[in-house]
Amino acid sequence: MTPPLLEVRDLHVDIPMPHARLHAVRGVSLTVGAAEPVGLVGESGSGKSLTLRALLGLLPRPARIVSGTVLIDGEDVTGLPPKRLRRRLTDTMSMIFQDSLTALNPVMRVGDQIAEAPSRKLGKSRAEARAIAVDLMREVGIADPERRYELYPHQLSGGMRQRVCIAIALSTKPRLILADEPTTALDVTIQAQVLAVLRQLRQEEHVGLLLVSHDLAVVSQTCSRLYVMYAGKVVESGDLTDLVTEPRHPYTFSLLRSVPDPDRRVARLLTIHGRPPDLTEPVTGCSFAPRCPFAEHACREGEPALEPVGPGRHSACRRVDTADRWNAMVEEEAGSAR
Amino acid sequence: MSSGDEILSVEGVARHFIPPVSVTDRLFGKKPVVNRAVDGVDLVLRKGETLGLVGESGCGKSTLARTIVGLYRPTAGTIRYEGAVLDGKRTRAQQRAIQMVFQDPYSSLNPRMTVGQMLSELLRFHKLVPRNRVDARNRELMHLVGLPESALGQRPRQFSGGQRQRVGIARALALEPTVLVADEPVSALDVSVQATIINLLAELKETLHLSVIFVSHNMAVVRQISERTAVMYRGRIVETGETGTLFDDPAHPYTRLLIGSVPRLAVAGGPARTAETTGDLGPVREEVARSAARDETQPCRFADRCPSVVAACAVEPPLLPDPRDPARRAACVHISQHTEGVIA
Repeated sequence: MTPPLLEVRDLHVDIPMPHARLHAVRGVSLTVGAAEPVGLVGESGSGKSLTLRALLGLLPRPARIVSGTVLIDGEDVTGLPPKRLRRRLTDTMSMIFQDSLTALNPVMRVGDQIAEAPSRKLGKSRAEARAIAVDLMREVGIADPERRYELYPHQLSGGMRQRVCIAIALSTKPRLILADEPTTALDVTIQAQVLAVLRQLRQEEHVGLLLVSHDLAVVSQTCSRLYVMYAGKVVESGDLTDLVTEPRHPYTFSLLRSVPDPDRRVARLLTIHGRPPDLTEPVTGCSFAPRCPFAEHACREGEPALEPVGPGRHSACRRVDTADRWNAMVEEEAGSAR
Repeated sequence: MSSGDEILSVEGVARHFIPPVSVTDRLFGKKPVVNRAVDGVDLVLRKGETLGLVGESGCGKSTLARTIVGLYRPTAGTIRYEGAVLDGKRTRAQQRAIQMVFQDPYSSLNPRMTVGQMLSELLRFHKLVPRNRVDARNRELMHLVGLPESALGQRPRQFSGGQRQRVGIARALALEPTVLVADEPVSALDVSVQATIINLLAELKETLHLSVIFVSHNMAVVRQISERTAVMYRGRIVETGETGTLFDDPAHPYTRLLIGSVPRLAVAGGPARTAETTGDLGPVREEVARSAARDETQPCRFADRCPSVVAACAVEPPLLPDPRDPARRAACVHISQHTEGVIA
């Protein structure tokens, strides 16, 4: 079997605080195959963005990697000397950020920003790099690329700027694109367009994608496999369709039931009470247990590990009940509350 | 607009902003570009309903909300509450009657005051309860929004986002309003917390007989909470109707684009919901400014992005009734053909 393009093993990220240490990422393992679109879903504070940023060494200060292994094509790159590690990572991956305005250089023409990597990294001449940049702009759906090449970031709309960022990410010919909430700052009609660009890339370019988002629907538009994160850990993973139609972790289940549906009104949205645990304290028991509608006494003793629960599926929940049973329990509860 | 069950009406309301002109520009006789954030809006809020006001950033929905509450004075048009015109000077009773819940409760609450101090001040200023009843009323308000009484002794930064929004709601409710204008009240919250605030607002509306204007960019949230919906685009309402019909069968091409663009949970085997992509919206604000600089007779403001544009679109249509559904109106010349569901 060919090793996956990217494999992360047991990643830990800490954020030192004045009087404590926040364990933001607590042992995340994930894999992304060649040309595979993978989603990483969770709420704010779940550690999803830090996981992504740790991969490229882009952690915001003072967060730091405590331990973990990164394998590219099965080769452990963590031990490489810093320069070679950086080279190896940037040759393989590039990143798209949420806020395209701060991601771009405000005093440099957008076209030149796209052409920068081809000329510096791939050693193309100015004219060649320019031609590559114009092609990339066309590819990400920027109409009239020759004219827009000359513009500065502030002269473009948010959707156009995000396309420029995607073009820059593609300019190094990466095998994997890391995207951190790439459409969250955009209006819904523009979001749809940017998602269409990402979908198209996945089909035409055979680039892998690791997409981080709080919005399951957005992730479902582009990804075929999902990791759901909660309190610094992956609590469930598997094929998108399986996970959505039959979640095996109560957090995924609750998340799906608490988001309103644009196509239908429900009598009452399911709510998740309380809030995520304070990660400066050691977590005892299942981290979701205090908020879990199905928690039993045993759930509060020892944190459950991510165990296989079906073909290609993992869940960190001791309750083996299926979503159908959970659904029934929720309906029952709602009925008695009435 | 005949029925006496309307509590609030907005008639031809506009709110324009004129940016300051620098000295040099004034010397060269350059005129300021007026930003017509709200540009002639007619809207009715019925007693006991939740009206969703949706649109993308820059469409003027927040400006309209703030104008209704009285934070901005309308440039033109009239706002009526219970039949009485609300002019620049609202009476205390009128001020209390229409209250606002803000998107970011953190910046709308005084960081140095405890919740109890803040609420007490409001109650005393408006003389809503006798002095010896203030504490009891404070506790009552906490129960109403689902916070423990101990919250009264805490300051805004000690709360989580969801709890802070509850404080923001308590602040609005302290004044015993009949109309609540909620401006993106759940947009800053995580999805799981979002649901609790949506449910809370729905409950409060029922128990306190409130009428609610719910402003949001999130179509799914609006579908969940509102009975009627108004869609705003570049300063105007382009469609209003009963929420279910408006979402299931939009009459205005913009509404269709907006609803079609909302990402759905896509599962393998199911249809991949690809949204219509009718051109790039471009820099919204600049285009609004540009259209604002135009003359009185302007084309339909959606014409430049509309897939079904015809010659008649050169003149902007008013909100026209849907012949098939009297509860629905859309600012589109194709509305009469909507009977056959022709617009494509």
